[in-house]
Amino acid sequence: MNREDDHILVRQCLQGNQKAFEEIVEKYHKIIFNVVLRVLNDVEDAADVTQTVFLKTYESLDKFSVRYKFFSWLYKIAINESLNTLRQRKQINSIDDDFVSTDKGPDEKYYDLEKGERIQQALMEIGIDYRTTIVLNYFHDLSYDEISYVLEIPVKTVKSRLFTARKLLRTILIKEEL
Amino acid sequence: MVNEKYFKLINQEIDGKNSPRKSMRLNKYLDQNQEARKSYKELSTLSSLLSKIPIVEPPEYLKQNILNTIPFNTRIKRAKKQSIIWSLIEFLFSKKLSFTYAFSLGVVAGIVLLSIVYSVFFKQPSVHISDLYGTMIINQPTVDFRVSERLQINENSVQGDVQLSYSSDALLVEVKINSQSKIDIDLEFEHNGLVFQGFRKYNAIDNTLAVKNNSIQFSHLGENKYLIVLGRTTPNLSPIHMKIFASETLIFHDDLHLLQ
Repeated sequence: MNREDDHILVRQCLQGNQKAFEEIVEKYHKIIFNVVLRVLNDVEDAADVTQTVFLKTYESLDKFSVRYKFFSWLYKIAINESLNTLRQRKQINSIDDDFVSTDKGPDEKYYDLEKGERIQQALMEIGIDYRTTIVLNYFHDLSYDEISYVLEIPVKTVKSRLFTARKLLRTILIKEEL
Repeated sequence: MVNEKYFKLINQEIDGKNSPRKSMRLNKYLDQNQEARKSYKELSTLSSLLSKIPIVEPPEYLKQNILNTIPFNTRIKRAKKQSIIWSLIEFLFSKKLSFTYAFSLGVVAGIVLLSIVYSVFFKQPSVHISDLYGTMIINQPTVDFRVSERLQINENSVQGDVQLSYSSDALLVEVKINSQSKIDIDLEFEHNGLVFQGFRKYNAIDNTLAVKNNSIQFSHLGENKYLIVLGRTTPNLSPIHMKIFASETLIFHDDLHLLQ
């Protein structure tokens, strides 16, 4: 995710270049869908929210500051939209069975699918604040600073949430398993 | 029980955020504390598990659905507007105009500075209008008309008077007349010495006016006043002959002499 490339694409979008935004969608729709999915745990909701995320991104492109990484800004919108959806529905469904992992052999795919489901279930058992922190840190490899920007919390809080989330997940996943 | 401080160090170690010194300190602690070692191992396993979680493929329709919801046209229109505005701003702040701005600023600053210097060192004493006295003089001389001759008209149905005034370059013939019936007034003059310049009546009554090289004829009914302006081309003039006709019959005639 090259920062400069993204900024060029944003500038082109602001100049009315449709293809540039199509490129942004192509580049990020999968990853945003996954962020939202990990938070919401529902494929259809995740698809709807992903659509909304890109619409809002497009509408507020001129508010984007080049001081930040574009994908961090995109994640911020995605997390906020996911939290809004969670607040609206106030109920959590189990993860959709249609998930398909990529680039894996049949056995490994099954193993990852199994493990992915269990991890997702464990994620749904911890608080939303911890869940979003874990999702951004592990699934999307964001740094403490980037998570701090996306979630609008101090870096100290990011660390605290991350460490507590691990502790909780360890309790749920590993202690039961190992 | 793992000390909270070391629990933090374990997490930072997993994230690769510890300095070499902190890593060494943690390792020493882990060597001495079995429970801490266990925690470290479990958290590392968890981290590894989380890192390996697969990416889920979104529904195939998602990308197209996203693109369908984007109002590209509004952005294109807005971009066109903004590009015009930005082009204008860029032009106004371009280096090409910097000399112009600097020059203009210099001129303005110079004018302000000169105004200040002038007002300080060359200040005119203020005079109240009540302190002013004297006479206003108009340099251009006014036209000075002098009365040359007056005639009285007192015929049966026609009364009035005629006055001839003159200046160095013009004659004025003023005719005040009152007539119960329609009359014709005829002024004849030397055509080489006088030129007709204007005719004015004070009351708007229909008249016929005929101007020739050496005469002016106009009709009259009721009471009115007329002013005939003649330009003077020679200093010595023969008299102006005035005649009044009623029904084509001469009822009055006299001469207006220019007395000098």
